[in-house]
Amino acid sequence: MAVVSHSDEQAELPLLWQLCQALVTFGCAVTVLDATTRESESNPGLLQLLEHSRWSGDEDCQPGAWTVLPAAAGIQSLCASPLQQSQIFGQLSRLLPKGSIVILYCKAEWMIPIIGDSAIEPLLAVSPMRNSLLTSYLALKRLLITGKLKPTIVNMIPDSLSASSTNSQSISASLSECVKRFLGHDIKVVDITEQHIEEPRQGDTHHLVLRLLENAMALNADGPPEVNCVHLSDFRRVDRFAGSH
Amino acid sequence: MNIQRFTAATSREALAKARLTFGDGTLILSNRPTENGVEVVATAEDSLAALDQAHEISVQKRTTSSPARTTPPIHQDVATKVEDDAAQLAMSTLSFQDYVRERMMRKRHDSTLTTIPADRPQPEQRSERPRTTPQEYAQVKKEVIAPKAAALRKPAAPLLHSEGVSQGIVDELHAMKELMEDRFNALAWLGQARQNPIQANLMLKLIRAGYSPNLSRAILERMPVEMNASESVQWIVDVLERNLKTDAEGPLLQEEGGIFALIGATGVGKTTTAAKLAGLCARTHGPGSVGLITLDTYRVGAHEQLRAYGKILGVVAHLAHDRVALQDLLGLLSNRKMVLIDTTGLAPRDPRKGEIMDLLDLPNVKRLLVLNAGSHGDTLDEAVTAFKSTGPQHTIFSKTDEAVKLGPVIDAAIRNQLVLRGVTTGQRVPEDWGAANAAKLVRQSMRTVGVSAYDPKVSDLGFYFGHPVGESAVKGRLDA
Repeated sequence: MAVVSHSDEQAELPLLWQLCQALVTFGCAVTVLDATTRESESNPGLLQLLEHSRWSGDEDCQPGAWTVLPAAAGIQSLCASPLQQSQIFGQLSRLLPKGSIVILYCKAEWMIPIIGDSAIEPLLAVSPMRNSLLTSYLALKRLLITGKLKPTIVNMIPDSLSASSTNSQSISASLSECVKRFLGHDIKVVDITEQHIEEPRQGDTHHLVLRLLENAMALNADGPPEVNCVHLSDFRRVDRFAGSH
Repeated sequence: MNIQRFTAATSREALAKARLTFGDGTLILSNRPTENGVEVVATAEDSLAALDQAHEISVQKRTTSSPARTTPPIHQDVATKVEDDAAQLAMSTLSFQDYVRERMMRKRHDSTLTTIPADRPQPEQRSERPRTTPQEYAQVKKEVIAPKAAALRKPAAPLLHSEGVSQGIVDELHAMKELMEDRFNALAWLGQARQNPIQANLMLKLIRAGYSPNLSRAILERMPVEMNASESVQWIVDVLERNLKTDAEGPLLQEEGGIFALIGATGVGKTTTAAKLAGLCARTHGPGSVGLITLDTYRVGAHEQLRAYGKILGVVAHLAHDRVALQDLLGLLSNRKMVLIDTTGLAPRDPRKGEIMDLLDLPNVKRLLVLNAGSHGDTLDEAVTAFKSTGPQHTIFSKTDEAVKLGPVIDAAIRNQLVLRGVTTGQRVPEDWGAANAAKLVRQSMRTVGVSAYDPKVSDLGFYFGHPVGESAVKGRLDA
């Protein structure tokens, strides 16, 4: 799965959260590769996995567990590497927990080399923020033209607004219209109500997650095994989050 | 935002046209082949920066970005100006990790406030998470720049706003809750009272006597349970007697003397009562001790009626048309032991009532509210409320001989803390006057008056006690 970052965290982060929560509800283990955050000594992530380690097998597939890994440098290095898309997938499958759903959260230009020209439908969250229209259009243009991907616009409606709020819907409607007019693509628009209070009622998110699961790609681990194997338990304490409903 | 369309034979020419218009900061939104060549849609790059200041902050941060950004990504072949600009866009400074931490903490905080079922799976608690320590959390928070943190906090604002807006709804819900609680309390009490045959019979007796459900419930709630039937009746009579305030311990009206204005609704017998009081005073202290003034200029013959009574008693009845005349007359009669002012009878909701009350707003003028003992409880309550004045409220029960039930008027006097100064018992002046005797009145009120179509049955009591306790309830004021 993929969620596009276009500097609209107000919409993207709640969407990611709700996706993870919904996946956990379905009993899936979730790993979020957060390429909007750079790895560091104190906050290691994908880059450290690529350089030194692979995921230890002892904690694979804990149902309901979810992990957030900073992945900016790691994704950049994967983009810059001469590896084919299938090889990138194979490498990721060895590094990340087996059986977990991987959500790639990064900018459109980094997403394209990894999942470009695939069946994955990246989600592009938009909020009623003023600049969201332009940044999301730029991301859409890249995904459609360069990446040959079919993104889905997710209209994040703050729970203080009603679903019929003209302000929240005008952004997605304008975006969809712009894409249709200038880029010649019909883009699906989904409305998701942002939930600030933990509620079991997440029907719209559940529907979206089920649709994403249908189009998700399986990571293939037929690449060469990594030599250096370092257990991640040291830094996973920082990065690991387990959630449940 | 200024968006323009440029058409040319080739892309190069179309782009040149766009750059001619927008300069080096041309932002190409789209380009597509047309029948005549190529069409380019473009806008100014400046519009991107002008859209939101947050973008500028982001761009500034990117100029000081980490060395990892210098690594040329594979997507460089996508060479449009738009992507060059986008490459400058900020990497998110509020990471998903921070967001998750905040949500987790909020979730945990919420879960501490509400009870979570113990059998619910809590994977969060399975592993050690140093991230939850304050030191680490503080470290993470340092990385979050203020605007982004503010952006995260934004969703709280509408909640606060909605709280303010819905204050009225909350008040209404509270009012509804209180109403329901009153209703349920009343029904619960009624159900309990029905279990006790003595209480149930006394309840019915009080209602049949004309006492209000509020006063009845207030009395019965305080009634000791260990008493038998006769003791219970006696106890209730005693309570009613104690709570009906009279002038029994003080001087009688005619002995006390002073200026008295008789006020009250139409037809309650104010003029006759004034004549009776004048007669009583004249009988004791002589005709020269009494002054009679009438303000009743509305009713035909009102002055003549009082003048006729005055002639019988040997007292002159004066007519005052206005406040000045009244003050003159009061000055003229200042040497009299008792001066009685007969006022115009007005309906409690009559707008002229205020004029009369203002007219009587003079020093040393005491008001006597005349209540028709035969009136319905609601009518009496309305009259008491309408003619309310400051200080102790004195009253006279008129036409007690005509009243089938004395319960309503006694009830109104108890609930409104009126001081009973006397009762009138007939048309004869001044013979049909009685002193305020609480015991006599209460016992009279509790006598069985025979079968009436208006008498409730035991099964009807739910309708009486189901109503919420109103403002005129006697809770906390009853001497029981």
